[in-house]
Amino acid sequence: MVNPLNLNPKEEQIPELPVDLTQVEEGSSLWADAWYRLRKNRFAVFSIIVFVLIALLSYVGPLFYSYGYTEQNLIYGAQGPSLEHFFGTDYLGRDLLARIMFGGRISIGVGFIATFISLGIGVLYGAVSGYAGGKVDNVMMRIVDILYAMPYAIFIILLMVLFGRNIFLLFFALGAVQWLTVARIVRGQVISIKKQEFIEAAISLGLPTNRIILRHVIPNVLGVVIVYATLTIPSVMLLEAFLSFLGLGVQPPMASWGVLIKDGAENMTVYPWMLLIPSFFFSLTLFCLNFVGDGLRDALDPRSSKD
Amino acid sequence: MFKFILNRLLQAIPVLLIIIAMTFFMVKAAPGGPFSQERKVSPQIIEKMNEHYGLNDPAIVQFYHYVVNCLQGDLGYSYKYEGRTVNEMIGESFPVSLKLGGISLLFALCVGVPAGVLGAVKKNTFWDYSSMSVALIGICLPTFVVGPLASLIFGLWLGWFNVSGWFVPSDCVLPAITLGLAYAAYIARLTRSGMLDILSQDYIRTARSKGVKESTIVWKHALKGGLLPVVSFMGPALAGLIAGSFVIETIYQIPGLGRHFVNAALNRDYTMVMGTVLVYAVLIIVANLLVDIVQVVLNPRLKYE
Repeated sequence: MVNPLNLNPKEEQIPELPVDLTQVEEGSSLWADAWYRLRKNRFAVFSIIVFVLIALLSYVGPLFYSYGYTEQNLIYGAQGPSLEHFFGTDYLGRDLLARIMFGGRISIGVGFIATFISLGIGVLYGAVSGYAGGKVDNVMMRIVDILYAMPYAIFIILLMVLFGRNIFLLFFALGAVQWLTVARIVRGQVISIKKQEFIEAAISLGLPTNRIILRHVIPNVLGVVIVYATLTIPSVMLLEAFLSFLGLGVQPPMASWGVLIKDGAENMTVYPWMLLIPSFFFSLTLFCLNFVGDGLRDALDPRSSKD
Repeated sequence: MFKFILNRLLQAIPVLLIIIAMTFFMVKAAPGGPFSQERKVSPQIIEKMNEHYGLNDPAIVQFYHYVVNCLQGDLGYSYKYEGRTVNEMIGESFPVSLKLGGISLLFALCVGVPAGVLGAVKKNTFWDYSSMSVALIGICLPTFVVGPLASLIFGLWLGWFNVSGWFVPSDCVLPAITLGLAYAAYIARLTRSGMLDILSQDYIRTARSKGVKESTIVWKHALKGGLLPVVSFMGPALAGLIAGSFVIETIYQIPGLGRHFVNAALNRDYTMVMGTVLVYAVLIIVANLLVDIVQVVLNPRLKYE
């Protein structure tokens, strides 16, 4: 396959770009082009705005909100949405908005951190494997193949059950599962990059291999990695919520959106808002992230986009 | 073809062994054992139990015994349900899960493929956009959101189905649709892009210029190639269906293998955990093999090694 992210900016000129004649010699970088295309994608821009709002609500909101996420009011009990509690309260009288904000922190946080972990492992592994080539590559990719065949949801469940439901273990387990695909993608990219002249130049200048990988190879695969990362975040969040739903993820009194949905599902017959509101927030966030990911893919890699 | 299948089956053996070994040693490494309970049991009894189940042997010896027993088709006794063998319990619950999974997959294919074909044939029209938007919603809504919502709306408010349970045939409608929804959506998207690829090929143009009916072109000539991405998706789909069944069977209180697995893990019923993981691993490996065979049948150009 040809390298979908063209590294040579001169070939990346796009006719419909508004060309300012005074600046024509500068050309436009890959990132500038991508940014231009992304801005034109209305769905993606709208999704970014909505996602930022949700994230702000989760991270900044609690500072301005008078109820805490653990604050119980047993006499008040579960009440539907009202002016006092915008999203109502749960059966312990805890304010649902406060819990959604806190749950958002955990859910979004898990999504980003686990994705970063998986990127760290995957990018390094894939880059080394692809750059080394030959037998090393063969062995390293065989290992990935075998791990790929593992029913990973089962292993995560076992890991969480057997070694305690620790939130750091959760981060690690989620990240450890997701790196396989990253490693494969990066390897493919690196193989096509390492044949290019600038790597040859670096080698002939006598740069050590680790420096070539870290400074020259990896920066050039970042575009693909970023696209994949934005699509990984929602799938990690989904996995976390899935575990929390089974009671294996985040433990009370902490909450994630998965936990809230689980609580809601258990009480939906009497307190339907406890299910509906967290589900809405969770689904909306997943929607936005998927749209942003799709938009970024189209922006960074216009040729692969679906017509 | 025969050599190819044999080869793949041989490759499956180490994978299976690794899965068994990983599960086995993970379970062994975990703190706490099957007999540690809230209620204090005298150390003598625990000692006796450990001895009875061979838990005092070195781990590697236990592993050897386990593999030998597996090869003879004996998965051992459940640690939690007295007097029940794992074989029995899997034998009861697996058909339930198989039925649920089969119906969901059928549902996913019956909805996803036509929707995808529609999207490709009527590209960039209202039909295309609406079917693809619905598909996107299907992908983004997780099963544990759709499941409770569906049982709330159709079970409780409208009263069309039972809220949960597995007694009458109509009980499988909601779980199967919930489980299959995301896959229907994926299949629709894959079918659409696959069909678009094929419909722009030369041989389709040839067929058109010969005056072949459009419906014949779509359903006979294009679909065969257009379905290839869907076929290769079946492998991961099955793994996803298994994971989904954990949630679905919990939500709808279905006595299937998924619920058994989650309960067994929570109860530290080690033999049961091992048994279920083994069944899932075999299932996934066999499904992947079938997928590869179907791919070769649909596309003879694929060279299999």
